[in-house]
Amino acid sequence: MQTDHAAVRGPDRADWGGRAGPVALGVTGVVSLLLLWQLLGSLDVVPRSSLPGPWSVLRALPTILGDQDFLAGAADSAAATAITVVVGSLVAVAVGLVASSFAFLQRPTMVVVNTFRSVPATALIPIGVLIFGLGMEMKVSIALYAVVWPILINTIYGVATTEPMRRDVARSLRWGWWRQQALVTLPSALPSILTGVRVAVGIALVVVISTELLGARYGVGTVLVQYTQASRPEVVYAGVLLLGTAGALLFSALVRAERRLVRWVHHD
Amino acid sequence: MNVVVDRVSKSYGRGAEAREVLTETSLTVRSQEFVSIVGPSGCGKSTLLMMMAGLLRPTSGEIRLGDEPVTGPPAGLSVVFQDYSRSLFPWMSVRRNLTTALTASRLGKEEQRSRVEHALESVGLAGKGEMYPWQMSGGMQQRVAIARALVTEPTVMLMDEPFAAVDAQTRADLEDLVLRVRHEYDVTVAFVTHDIDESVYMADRIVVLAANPGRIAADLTVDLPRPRDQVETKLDARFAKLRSEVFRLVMRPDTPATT
Amino acid sequence: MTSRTTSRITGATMRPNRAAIALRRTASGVGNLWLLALVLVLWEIYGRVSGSLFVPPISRILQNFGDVWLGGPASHLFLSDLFWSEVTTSLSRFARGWGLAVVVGIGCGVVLGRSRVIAQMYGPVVRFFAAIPNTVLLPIAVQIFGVASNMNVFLIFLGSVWVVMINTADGVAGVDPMWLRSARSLRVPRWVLYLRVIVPAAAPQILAGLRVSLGIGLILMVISELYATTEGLGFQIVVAQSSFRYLDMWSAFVLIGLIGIVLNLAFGRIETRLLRWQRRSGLDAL
Repeated sequence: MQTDHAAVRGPDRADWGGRAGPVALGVTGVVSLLLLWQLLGSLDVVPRSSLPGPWSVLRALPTILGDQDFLAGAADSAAATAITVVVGSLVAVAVGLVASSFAFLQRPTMVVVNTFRSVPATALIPIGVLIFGLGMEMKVSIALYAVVWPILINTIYGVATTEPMRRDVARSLRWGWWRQQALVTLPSALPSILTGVRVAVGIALVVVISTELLGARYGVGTVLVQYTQASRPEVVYAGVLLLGTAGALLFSALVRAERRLVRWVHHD
Repeated sequence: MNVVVDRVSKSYGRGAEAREVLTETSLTVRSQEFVSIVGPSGCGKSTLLMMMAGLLRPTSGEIRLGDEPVTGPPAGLSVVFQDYSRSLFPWMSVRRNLTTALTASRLGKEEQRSRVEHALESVGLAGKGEMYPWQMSGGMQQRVAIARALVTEPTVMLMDEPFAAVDAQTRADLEDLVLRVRHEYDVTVAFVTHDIDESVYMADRIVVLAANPGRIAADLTVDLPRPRDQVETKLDARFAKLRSEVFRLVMRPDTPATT
Repeated sequence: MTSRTTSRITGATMRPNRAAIALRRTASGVGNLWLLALVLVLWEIYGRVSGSLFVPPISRILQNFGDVWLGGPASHLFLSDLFWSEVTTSLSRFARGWGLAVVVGIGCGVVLGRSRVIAQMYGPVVRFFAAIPNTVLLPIAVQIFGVASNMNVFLIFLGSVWVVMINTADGVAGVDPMWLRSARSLRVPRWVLYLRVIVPAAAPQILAGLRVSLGIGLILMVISELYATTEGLGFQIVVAQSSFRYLDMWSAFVLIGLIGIVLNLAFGRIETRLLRWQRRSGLDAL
């Protein structure tokens, strides 16, 4: 079976353009895209009813921000994502540490992981709806399925790349399994695990919103579907913009937190 | 073709932070000549070579290949870099590495083929064209790098500490290989090294640089007979004398000459 | 890595018996399947003991799978007509969307990775788009395209293109300067510099991005077919669900899973082959 540890990589770890360059350039980029957007509508490339102009989307922002349903839905989606990531991380890291500790479990575990993670989680939604109904339980269980594999892979990968010398030190100090995991293996694998968690956050969001589009009772997706059905595309776009902004902020916060947590890595 | 370094200076950084690594350096590598450039670390010997290769621009002064000023990598000039693992393209077979060097020269398929075969044969890698660099030892990889430099049939070959990363025996083999192909290809060589023995053993002339800022400290002619031999040449009294002279210039530049 | 030996008699380089290697690999591969088998057996037992209508034992799912998706004539590789029509529909949507994402993503990624100015202009925007949980665009895609294949293709494209672009830009910006310097000194033409040096050098990262995008593309292929279509694999699940044919649902799920597994395995093969040159650590043993 192939390994594909490299696969599990967050979307935003590059340094190119990451360091904020001249603000003017960034603004020029955004403005040029807004102009293109405006142009697409003006030239009737895409009908107004499908792609409202940037200005009307901007004016719809207060509407969506003042909508109690949207805010409650956002809270619900956020909660589902948070629960998923926390529970998923705990489970996956625990399983990963155990599987890595026993040589006879390593490759068979990778086989299982590679098999199940290749199955697109969204295909489980209709089945999840049957079993768990339309509430939080369903959202979280399906998102959990999607989230566990990348964290598990990254845990196993992180453990496998632990500097062998460090483990020898632990062994020469006659540390037990628990202490060795806590003081050597886990810290060594931490950077890799955190990358997995960051990827998991993105996947969890996608899956949670998918369940909402397919009928979950509450959530951002549910509200946006309602606006679509009410033919208020500008509000839908405003919602998407908000979600994108929230997502971008969340990811940069995660990256920053990650850097703080594993500051020692670069001094190795 | 002569390579002329004409009052060249190079500094990095600007204003108060500027650091001059090479100052007002002039030197001519004459056609067919083998010149070693040696000096303590930080004397700017690699910087000098990279400027000769057209890969770095001098801050002031000029470098000429023949009569043409060098403003970018010139045709007819090849470089062998220190770190073969990073200068060869590992995703290409040996043959592909060599033909890539020929893309700029627009030769016919047949001519390309025979040039590649010839170059591989010259460095003792005949029949290894389909191998990949990662399948080879360090010494073999550096042979590929030399073949890639020769395949364009250059008039000038610049070598930047080419053997710094190989073990001693391989190093001796590669030194003799370079002395041999140099005649076969009639190529002018400028050879940067930090190994004093090597600088003497290889060269017709040794340019010794001093550091802080880099400048020419001495220009010595090597009057050892050719062909050189790893045992005989190094037993020669003139070798020992030159060697200690260069050693003194490099390691203890402040003590006056004893002879 | 170098599994070549030199024959003492002929001096020729030869490979060890290929069949023997393949056999050994298969044997060790099978040896690692036990945990997967155990998981499936546990599923079977749970299905039987619980008697749940919603979670049938795997044996009954597979039986149904055979009835629905197999059973065609030999000329159709023993696959049913339904298989051919639905699978080709879904996969052609996937191939168009993902293929476009790969071409556009790599193309734009190379530009972003090479030009500092363009990266500073559009880098933040690209990151913003990448941060949008892409399923949220589904209602919009339906608005623009209606319930047509282009909607699925568009969504798959839009969802997978950013990861490819960001990873490519990342890889291209990080190409070892020695390789660039070396290429410059060889005076290679521009197209050689890009196609034979920069892109291959960035290939490890580009392929990592492609693999992530492959997973995202499949997720979006399925969700877009569950949400609104009239044909395709996801649609089969919807039909089965609305007529309470739970076994059909599960066997469609199994089929989608198998497709995902096959695509990922194939990708892994290609990836290993393309990256043979990369010196890798003992991780390959995993």
